[in-house]
Amino acid sequence: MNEPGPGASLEVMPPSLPTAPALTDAERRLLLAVDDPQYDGASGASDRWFSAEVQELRLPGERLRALLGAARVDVRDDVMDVIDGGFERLGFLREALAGDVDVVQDVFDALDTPAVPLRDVLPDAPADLMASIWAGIEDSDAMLLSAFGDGEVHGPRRALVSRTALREAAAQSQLQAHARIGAQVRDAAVQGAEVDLWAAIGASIGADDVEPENDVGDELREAVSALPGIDVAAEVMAAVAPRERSMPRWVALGGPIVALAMAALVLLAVVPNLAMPPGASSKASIAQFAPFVMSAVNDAQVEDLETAHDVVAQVVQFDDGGPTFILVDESGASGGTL
Amino acid sequence: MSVANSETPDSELVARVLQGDKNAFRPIVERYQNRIFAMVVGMVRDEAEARDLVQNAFIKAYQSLDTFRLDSSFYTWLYRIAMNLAIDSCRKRRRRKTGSFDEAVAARDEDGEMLELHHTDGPAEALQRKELRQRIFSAMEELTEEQREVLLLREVEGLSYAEISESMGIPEGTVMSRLFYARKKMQGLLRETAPAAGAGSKKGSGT
Repeated sequence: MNEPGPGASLEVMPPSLPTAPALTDAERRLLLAVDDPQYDGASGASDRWFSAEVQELRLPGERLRALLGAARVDVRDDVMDVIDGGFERLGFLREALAGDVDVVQDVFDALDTPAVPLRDVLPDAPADLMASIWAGIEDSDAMLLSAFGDGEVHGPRRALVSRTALREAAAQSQLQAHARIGAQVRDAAVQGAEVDLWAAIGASIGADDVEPENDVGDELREAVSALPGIDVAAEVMAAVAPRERSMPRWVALGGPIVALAMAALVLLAVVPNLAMPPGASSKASIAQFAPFVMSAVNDAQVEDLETAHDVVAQVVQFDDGGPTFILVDESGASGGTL
Repeated sequence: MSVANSETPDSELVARVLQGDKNAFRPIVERYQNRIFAMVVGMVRDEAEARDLVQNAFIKAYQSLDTFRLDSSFYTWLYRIAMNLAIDSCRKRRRRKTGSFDEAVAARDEDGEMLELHHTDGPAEALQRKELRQRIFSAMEELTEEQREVLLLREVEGLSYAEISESMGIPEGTVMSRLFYARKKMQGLLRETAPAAGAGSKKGSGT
């Protein structure tokens, strides 16, 4: 046994003790030790002594209540600190005392007694806390069942809860409901949970290994090179050099669509009067494509077309079986590149 | 120095970043971005906002990487940064909130700011899933931030009570009770907002 705690004495009894069960000498020594003004709960030596005392005593719930009911609040806190180890879940009483009423059920479990004696533990608890405590009592079985469903109940209690879960339809129903909620939360959280943030993050931290976000240069270069009869790749590349602002995601649909869009751009240059939408005022933009000649169009079928918010895309076909033009205005109403 | 890739341990990548190899941060981002995103979107229930928050979390982590202890879990550290940002965001939003969450979600949807759902359902199933998702997010809005975080850590991350306890710095018993009350509340809210049973069916139409 360790040295007795500083200032231990058997002479002073807290006035509230008459309502509590008689204490053994050892318990009284423990209580009075921590009740002494000289007791220094913050020092390691006092803590070690106190901890050893509590473990030695193996306080049952009744004795513990006596201690707690009789102790000053700060002493009670000390007691709660120490018994965290021996009575693992009883430490949550601290949170209950602080108003976190979710945890009160754990207190009952740790005390291993019916709820009524808790009045001794929480003599001055406010009414709303006590109301929550009673609600917690009603929830105790369901809470344990919830933990059981998570595979978090062990030992003899597991066998006990397991029997309940097998026998009672209500318990099975609760387990199923919780499992369903879990699956729904999981599904809601992971829907669309595929992001690619490196381009933005890499640019922010100044990494070299960053492709400009949504840059279509490579895809375009490849698509234009694949088009037969076009020898203007260099000029086209100059016209669509990587831009600082974001490009639309439609580009991700792949080379054929990009190729078709390029073909449309080139054909627009060849037949601007036919292809220009009424009221369009982008002649200056179109003019730069004027020298281009398009001799063939790849076959492609557009099944879906996604764009950013500020992109205007228009699909035009002048006669049945004729070429399809896709006009893309990347700067929306402000009149950007066509 | 070998090339950093998806197999390189976090600690090695972090060490390389600290030595000035900014590109070594890329595998870290690619390894955890979706996982963190799923958690944050569950907290803030807005994908565009979640994307910004996760991005900020990574940048913040990068900027304070020198405070990270190499012998601890990088994910846990990063997760804490992201979750703190998410919680801050929730609190700010709550302060400036003027409309109901449903209205906000609906508005965002109409504006197209919510990301498209990536799955292979048909249009009817996709719509159902989308509606259910809105109901789930609306219900989660009613939980406390602590309950929501516990629920996500359990259901999305699949952490044990002990792991949640360690991650959040709370006792296991508190994990158990918060999780229970979160589920109980969700159950009640989802029941309230469930479409009427049999609505639109022959049985429901009274024929």
